[in-house]
This record gives sequence, C-alpha cells and structure tokens, in this order.
Amino acid sequence: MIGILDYAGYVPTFRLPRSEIARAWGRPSARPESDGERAVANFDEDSLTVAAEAAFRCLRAAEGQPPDAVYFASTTAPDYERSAATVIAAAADLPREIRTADLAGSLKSGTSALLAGLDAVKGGPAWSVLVASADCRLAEPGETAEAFIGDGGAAFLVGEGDALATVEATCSIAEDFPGTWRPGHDPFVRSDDQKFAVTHGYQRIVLEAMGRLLDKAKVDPQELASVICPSPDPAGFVAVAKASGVPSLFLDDPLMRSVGFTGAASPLLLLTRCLDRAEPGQLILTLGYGGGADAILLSVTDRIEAHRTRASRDLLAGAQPLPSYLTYLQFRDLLRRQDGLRSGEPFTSLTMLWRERMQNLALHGAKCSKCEAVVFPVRRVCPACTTRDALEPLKLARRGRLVTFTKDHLFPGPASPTVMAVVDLEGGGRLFTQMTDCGPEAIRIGMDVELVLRRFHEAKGYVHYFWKAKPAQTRP
Amino acid sequence: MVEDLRDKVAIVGVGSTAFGENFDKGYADLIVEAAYEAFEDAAVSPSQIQAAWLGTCFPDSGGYQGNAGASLADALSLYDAPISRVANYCATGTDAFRNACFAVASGAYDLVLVVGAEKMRDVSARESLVGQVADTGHPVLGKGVTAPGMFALFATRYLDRFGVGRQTLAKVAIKNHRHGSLNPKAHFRKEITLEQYLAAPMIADPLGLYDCCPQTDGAAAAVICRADLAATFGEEPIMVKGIGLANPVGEELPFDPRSDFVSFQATKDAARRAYEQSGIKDPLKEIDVAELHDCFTITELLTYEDLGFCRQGEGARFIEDGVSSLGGELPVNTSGGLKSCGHPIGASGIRMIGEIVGQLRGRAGARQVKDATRGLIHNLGGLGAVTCVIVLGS
Repeated sequence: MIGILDYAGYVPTFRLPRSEIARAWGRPSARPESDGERAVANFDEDSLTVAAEAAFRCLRAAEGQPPDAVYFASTTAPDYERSAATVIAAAADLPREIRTADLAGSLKSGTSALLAGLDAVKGGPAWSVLVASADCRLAEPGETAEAFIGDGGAAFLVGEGDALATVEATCSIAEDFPGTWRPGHDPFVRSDDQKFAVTHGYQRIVLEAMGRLLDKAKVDPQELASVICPSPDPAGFVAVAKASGVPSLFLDDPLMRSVGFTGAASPLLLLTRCLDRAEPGQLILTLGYGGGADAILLSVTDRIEAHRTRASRDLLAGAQPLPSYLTYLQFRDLLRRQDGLRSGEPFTSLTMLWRERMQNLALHGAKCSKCEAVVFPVRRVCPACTTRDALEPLKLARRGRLVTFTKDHLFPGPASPTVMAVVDLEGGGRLFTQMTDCGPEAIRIGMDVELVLRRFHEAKGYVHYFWKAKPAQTRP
Repeated sequence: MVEDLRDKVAIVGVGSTAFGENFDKGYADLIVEAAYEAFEDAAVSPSQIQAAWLGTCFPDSGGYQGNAGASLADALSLYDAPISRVANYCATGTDAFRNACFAVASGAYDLVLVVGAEKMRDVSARESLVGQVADTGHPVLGKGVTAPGMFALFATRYLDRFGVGRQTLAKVAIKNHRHGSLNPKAHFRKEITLEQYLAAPMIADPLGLYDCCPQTDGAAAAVICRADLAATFGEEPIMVKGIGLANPVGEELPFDPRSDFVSFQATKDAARRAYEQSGIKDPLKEIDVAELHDCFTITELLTYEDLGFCRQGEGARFIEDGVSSLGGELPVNTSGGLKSCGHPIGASGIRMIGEIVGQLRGRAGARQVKDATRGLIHNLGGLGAVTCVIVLGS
C-alpha cells in the first residue's frame, strides 16, 4: 500500500527561555508569551543541515532500497540556486540517478512537498520519495514573533510498501492571504495586523480546509484522534479548537511550548510526534497553512508498532539551555563579535571541493584491496602497504569514540572555545574535526560521538558543509 | 649507512640577534646582524663564503621576504654564491644546516653560510602564524586547527594516560624561564611562578598562556666548513657528529590511526639515525647538554622520552627531579628554550646550534654546563610531521 513508510524529526539542541527574550527587551514577564522556551539552531546549523539530520534519521530507520527522489521544503533555504535537496542526497550518499526538487515560498511548502511525494509515488515513476523539511526563520529582534519561532525539521519516506499510515483523503485550498511574508532581500519575517491574520486568515482558511476534507472523506470530526494545524501565532490554535469541535487537539503539545513554530516543517514535525504515540486504526488530520492550506487525512496502520520498536527516539532529549539572548543574536549573526584574527576569508578551492565531494560530503574513505587498511583522507598510495591505486571507496560510519580533544580559545568563531576532536570511527577511519552541541557534561576520552553535517564557513559566498562530532544521544 | 656525517663537517662560527619583538629591525636587518656575528666568530670575510642556505618558513608574515635564496643575497649583498632557501616547518633551521653539511661533506664547497631568519612581528601577533593557520590549509579537513590546539591534543591524551597534572607542565615553563633569565638574547628574561602559570588564560585546553612560546623576530647564523679545513678558520671548531631527519607520519598525524598522541615517531626515528652516526648508545649518560623544541611545554615533556633520555611515561619525573635543570644530570634548554627565546621559526634550529656550540666551547657564561663535550639539538616541525636531531661534539 502507498503511504508513510518511515519518518523522523529533529529539533536542535539549544533552548532559549521566552522569559529571557522578554527580559532582554524589558517586557513584563507575567504574559503568555513568556511561557516555555523556543528551540534555537546552533551557529553552525541552517535549514539544510536541520532537514539533513531528520533525513539521515529517517533513512537509518528505513529498510530496503534508497528513495527515487528527495524533496526539500523550507522558507529559509540557505541558497537560492544551490539545491538543498541535492546536497542532502549527496550527504545521505544516495544514488547519483535520483530526482531532487526544492520547494519554497510558502509556510505550507512542507505539506505541499508531502503531497507531491505521495503523488509521485501514486502516478509513478517513483517507488519512494524522501521529503525533508526544515525552517530556521528570523524575526526582527524585539518583535513578538521572535519568541514563537522555533528551529526544527522533519523527514518522511513515502512510497509503496509496509506503510505505517495511509492517506485517506487530501484537500488543498489556494488563497493569497496577507498573514506572514518575507521578500527576497529581507532576512526577517514580516506581518501586520495579528488579530486580522488569526481570525480572518488562519482560522477561517484552516477550518474551511478541514471542513472540505472531512466532507470529502465522509468523516465526522469526533472520529479524529488528532488534528495538527500549527499556526505562526499561538492564539490561532485556541481559536480553531473552539470553533472546530474536535475532541483532541494539539493545543498544549510540548512541541509548541518547548520548541516553537517551525515554519514549513511545523506540520510535519508535529506529525512525527503524533505518530510516535499513535495507535493502529486512528485517524490523524494534518494541515499546512500559508498561501491557502493543505489538509491530509491519515489512517494509522498496525505497522506503527514495528516502526516504534525500530526507530524510537525522544525528539526532545538532550536539550540544553542557551546561555543568553545575546548568544542567540550571535548565533544568528545579528550581533557580530569584532574578531581581529580574521582579515579575509578562509582559503578555498571549488575545484578541490568538487574533486573531493564523495570524501567530504558522503564521507567516503577508502579500503586497500591488498592489505585491507582503511584510509582517510583518501589517497592513491596505500600508507600501510605502499601499493598504488588499490584503494576502493569505503562508506565510513557516522559514529565513533573520542581519542583525544582540546578546547581551543584561539580559533575564531561565534562559539569559542572551538572544541577539536580526534574520533575513531566504527569500522575504521579516523577523523579530526570540530565538536558541536557539547553540553555541560565533561568531554571525555573514550566517549561515544556521532557525526552531524554542519556549516563550517562561507568562502566566495559558497557554504562549506562538513561533518562535526557531537556527544552521542542514542545507544549504538 | 645511507647518510654519515660524522666528523666531516666543522662549525667554525655562530651568531644570532637578540630575539624579541624587534619592531625597529626588518627582515634584512636581522640577517645582517646574525650573519656578521658569525663571520667575526669564524674570522672570515663574507667574500669567502662559497654557498649559502636560507631557512625561512613563512615568508607571508614578512611580505614574501625569505621566499627564495635571493632574499639572503639582497640582505648581505652576497651575489656571488649560490643560495638555496629551505623550508620544513619548524625544523627549517636544522634542515637548512643539514643540507649545507652535505654540500660541504661532499667536497663541493669549502666554506658555507647557513642563516635561519623569521620576521613574525611585521604583522600583528594574531595575524602572524596563528591567523595564517586558521585561514589556510584544506577548506574543511581539520578546519579549526591552530598550533597550540594541535599540541593540546597530545597534552590531553598524555595527561590522561600517565596521570600527570598541569603542575608538571608548569615546571617545564618555570625551568625555561629561569634559564632564559640568564640569556641576554632571550625574548623573555623574567622568571615566572606557579601562581602566575595557573592564573594565566587558557589558550587550548589544557595549554595556557605559559605553556606556549611567543611570537618572535630573530635570526641566527652558522659558518661551517669541511672538517680538514677547520683549523684554518676561527678558534674552536665544533664537529658535527651525526644528523638525523625523519618524517614517518606525514602531515596528517591526527587522521593517522597509528598516532598514540603521547609520542612523536619523527623524533624517535631522527634520534635513532643521529645516535647511530654519532655512536651514542646511552643518551642520558653520553649527552651533556641539549636544546630541544619546547614550542609548548608538553612537547618538551614528551621529547625527554622520545629522545631516550628516560622511558615512556617518565617525562614527569625527569622534570620534577630536576634532571633537565641547570645543575642537573642533563640540562635541557639552557638558553631558555623556545619558551623564553621565542620561536622565529626558521631561526630556532640555528639558534639551538649556536647555544650548543657555546656550551661545548665553554663560552656559555652563567648558563655553562660543566665539562660539556657532547650536545644535542632537537628541532620538530608541524605536529611531528618532521624532526631533525643533531649531535655535536668538541
């Protein structure tokens, strides 16, 4: 059957309490917007890396053939002309012959990508499609929206097979409503009258889409186990709950309280949470809103339990507090530290990066076919047996153990000290790279680490992605 | 033996500038000072020099000066002699010396000049070696590395494996500052205390400010000749007994699965070659004084072990028992080492040679090691990418 085969969510590690934001701006704290906290992507993350992390987790859970297509959806893609879907496919080491597409321009592009993926499977040629969505939106510092935006992403593998949820019905409406917008030159999300946007935009359109879908599917609101309809403004939920008559609504879901609204990825991220707790036979309604609305009615199958056993992961585990609002501003480059060390930009060579793309993006080392030594970085003459050109590509593991490390205060960066680590990868290969997302717990020789794709720097405006090590969150 | 320099080359003159932040001296000024001091020491005139070797590692800090042998020609107006520029990371000075020795030992030249010079402070301290490392190198592999950061990887592992604390590293810094206070040409000539060491800011954990050598300008020079001509020049020729150079792990040590981060194979291999040529079987007993590459305190600690002065894991005791202090059984870095002299990269190896020559001639003054007849120079480049060990004898 066609449906959702696998899924995974990813929320960045850091949390900024909303009360910290309020305090920074001298706003009284006894207000709803001072409750809870929001997720903040690390300085070395962006929508591409966040979606990539969700995609890697989703693919790890999946068994069988690699997807035939990768769709990336975001309103904050890091580059307008460099396909994030393609970079994710490369980092996931997917086959070269694959369809990649990038959806942008709408807060409902996440659900739109999901629908597009399902359509591609139904109509062919794709057997399965990986849909990866993430957003790291920015509000102007001091704007209320700043506290409710959260950074996060999710990935879904849709296709023909042992689906854990099938699609019962879909409905999409298009309406150009001025809720939020962001012109190309503007790093900040814009909006105008909140009351108008919530009542006449979000509430009206979402309820209409919900109504049309339930009519189409001949389903009563009382039959729904969950409704997912995230709103840029938290007040929106309450309004929809009151008007919809749906018994169980994701109003007080911790994801909103402790993560925030994750833009185009929000309906998908909330859906992963919902599926984590869903029972076979349940009906789930997911809505994406922005430029109209997408409504998707899912039916959970009995495959859901097998998935949970295979791929369970607490989305919110390992969260760390961000030191201050100031740190958030530095992470997002809204406040730049004067750094006398760097006079220009780091050396780069795009031809070198292209030649080494399998090594650097897909993390291919090499194995000597003569003496079995594992070699990284790749070279032509085996360092163990000096045989020339006997080295075959070897996909390196993305987990390992810490051999040694240091916290370097000299290397320039927004999160000094920079932790440098030597990691022995499972199955061979040794990596020397930065660590990231290190918590207050001590970094120890021998600790388990996992590799994550992160931004290193920009040179010539081209973002350099590579792998960093972070303390392992899951057991091997 | 593939290379055998024993008793084939004599050092007849040495010279060096004061090491420090010499803002009022340019690259060429440093060379002139060091070279002419060496000429006078050898009682030769520049016109007698038949060939020269220039060791400058990072010409970029000095506006490209030192990028080719021609820089030395310009500094000394020495245009009749062929000049090669040598670069081999921090082992540049000793490698320049080594190449000059082969030329002389082969009979190609009778009398040659070796100069090591580095002008690091014509750019700000952060822009010099530190800044260069951050922004150069591979676009992503190892990005984040700095010089102290690299050696800190060793310090973390060594301290963990052998149960040693920062207090032990402090002793290396304290000793070298004490020795440096006796060296009028050192960059730093004040002693430091443990309290100062512990209170200083962290640079790359566990290395703090006082674990690291400073950014320094300086030049040093040596005039060498074939052994049988030594009597013609200067007063007290000192003989080269053996030179070993080794680069067994290349430039990617942190990626190399063989790296144990508690020893430098390059030092072990270079020392073995130098000891073989010079006939040294028991370095602790037979070496009287040594200059070694304390770019960071941890490097000196490991090097006691890698040179065979003590067994692996016993470096801490070596420093704590005062063996490597002036007055101890094997004084190390009587000059004050890189810690006090500073480390103008190309110059350091030649400066070390000069210090050992002074010791073996009995001209080291307040730093003199009694009855020194065999001395050792250890010069390490990159993160153990290359090491050169030289044994000299009187």
